[in-house]
Amino acid sequence: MKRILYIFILSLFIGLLLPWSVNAQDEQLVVIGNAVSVPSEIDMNLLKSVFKGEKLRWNDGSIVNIALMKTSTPIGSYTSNKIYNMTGNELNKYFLALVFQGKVKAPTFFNSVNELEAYVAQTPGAIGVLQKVNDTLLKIILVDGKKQI
Amino acid sequence: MVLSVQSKILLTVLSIVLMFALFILFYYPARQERYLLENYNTEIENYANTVALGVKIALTEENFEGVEMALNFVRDDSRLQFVSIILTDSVWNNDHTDYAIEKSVFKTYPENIEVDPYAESNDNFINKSTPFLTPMMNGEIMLSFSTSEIKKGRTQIRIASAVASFVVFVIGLFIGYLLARRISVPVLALRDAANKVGEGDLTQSVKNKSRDEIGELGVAFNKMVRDLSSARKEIDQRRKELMNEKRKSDELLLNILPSETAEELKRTGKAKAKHYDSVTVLFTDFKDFTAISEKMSANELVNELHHCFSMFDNIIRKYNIEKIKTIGDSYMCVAGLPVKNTTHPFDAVNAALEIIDCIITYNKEREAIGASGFDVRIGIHTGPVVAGIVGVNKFAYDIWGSTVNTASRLENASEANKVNISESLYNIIKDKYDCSLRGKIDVKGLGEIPMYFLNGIKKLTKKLN
Repeated sequence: MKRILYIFILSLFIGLLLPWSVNAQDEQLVVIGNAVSVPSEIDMNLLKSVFKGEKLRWNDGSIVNIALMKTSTPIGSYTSNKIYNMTGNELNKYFLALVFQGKVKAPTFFNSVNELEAYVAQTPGAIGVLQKVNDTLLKIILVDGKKQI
Repeated sequence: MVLSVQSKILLTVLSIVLMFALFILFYYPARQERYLLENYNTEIENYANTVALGVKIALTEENFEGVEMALNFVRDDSRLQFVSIILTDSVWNNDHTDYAIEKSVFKTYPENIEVDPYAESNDNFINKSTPFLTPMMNGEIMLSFSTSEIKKGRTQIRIASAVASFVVFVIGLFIGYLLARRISVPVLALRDAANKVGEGDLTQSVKNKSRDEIGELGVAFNKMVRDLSSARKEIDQRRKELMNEKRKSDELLLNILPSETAEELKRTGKAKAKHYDSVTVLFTDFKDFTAISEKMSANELVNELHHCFSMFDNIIRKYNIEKIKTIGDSYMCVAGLPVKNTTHPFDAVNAALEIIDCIITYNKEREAIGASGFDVRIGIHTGPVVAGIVGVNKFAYDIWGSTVNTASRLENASEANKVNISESLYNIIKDKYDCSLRGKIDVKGLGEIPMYFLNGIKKLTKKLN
């Protein structure tokens, strides 16, 4: 009986720790883009420049539409940290300042991955960041030749 | 100063129009400017509220669409001076017993403007702030708009008000003039017509173009004038009739009274007896009248007397001799009264001669038809008399005195178709008339007095022979 209880408690502990271990392993980001206008491969510097609103148009002239998961989500928070090197609040303040001065079009934040994928798929010039891509038809942008960053 | 009706109406209308024009000129612009300012403030507040709400949604929901849209509206507004996000922080004192709110500018659009987070509105700018609270940031949205548009709008309102005021005044003036004219013209026409009616012109009438009270007044005036005209015609007719009656009564009065005595009687209600120093009294009488009258009917007799006395009347009127009365077949008249003159002896003798001629001619006419004639006896005497009216009924002008008796006695002592005159008369006319001394003849009550037959005017002596 004690053995069974021990195994149960151990299993419960392992079960609780498993998501963290999975997140930690999956903290790789995939950049997706609309099939139109968004280039298939860019370097990290350009990627950061695009996501910070420093590059407003693609080479074909279409507007850059940034799609991000909300910073309240883990992936959103991670993305903020990874790409912007900011906390979620700092990111919001950052874009508020830019938007206030009319310098950029603010990113569109989503609660779910599916919404973000659908937005990127349907919006010309849209580029977004995800953990993994569900929609296999979506265009994955290679960053410095890699699918994940 | 007396104002005409037209002036009063015009002044009244102008007063009302002036008040309205002043209202448009002053009160209306002030009110509109207040509304403009309120609307302007409300609009800026709405902008600030919208932006603040957008900021709050952006920071809490990570949805920037609202703030982007709001800011696009704000930035597109030409009146915008700046829009700022002001951060507010509570700064406690060292003892942590009190705190102060410190404001700092987070971001401003446009970037090149230095914003005082504590700035208030002034004549040139209107500043509006709307606070927002988020977990990550507290602050307020400050909008500053230029008041140049308000000033421009205010100027436009004042110009429009001045133009409207002027237009209202001119229109009011025009309407007032028309109204005053519409009322005063018929009133003045009525006044003029009334003045002419007052002067006696009853042909006046006024034209009535309206059916209001003034029109009714005109109708009443015209009716009044027509009634007055009818009344005056009736009065004139009555007056003519009255004058005719008066003329008849005057003629009747003059038939029985001398004109001067009649005038005195009409004027004073009585006529005083008057003494005349010298008049000439003439009596006629038909010889054997009683015997002749017995051969005639009463009517025939009266007709004959009327015919003869009418001839006498016509004769003595020519010589300005006053008929006194007839008594039976006697005819009495007097020359030299009631208006005194110096020709009365000559007037009387000329009349007597003409009466004799007239009777002789008339007798010939009667004899021609086989009728008997009348012989007339005439007696004339000149002397003083008293003339006047006695009694209160059936006025009769009469003369009194011995002269009357003497003339009567001379008539009695005369002969057929002869003129018997007294010595006093003879002495007056003897140079111009041919007379025959009859001697002294005794008459009743006077004794013997000298008498003369008047034969005629000396040149015409043959006529009576």
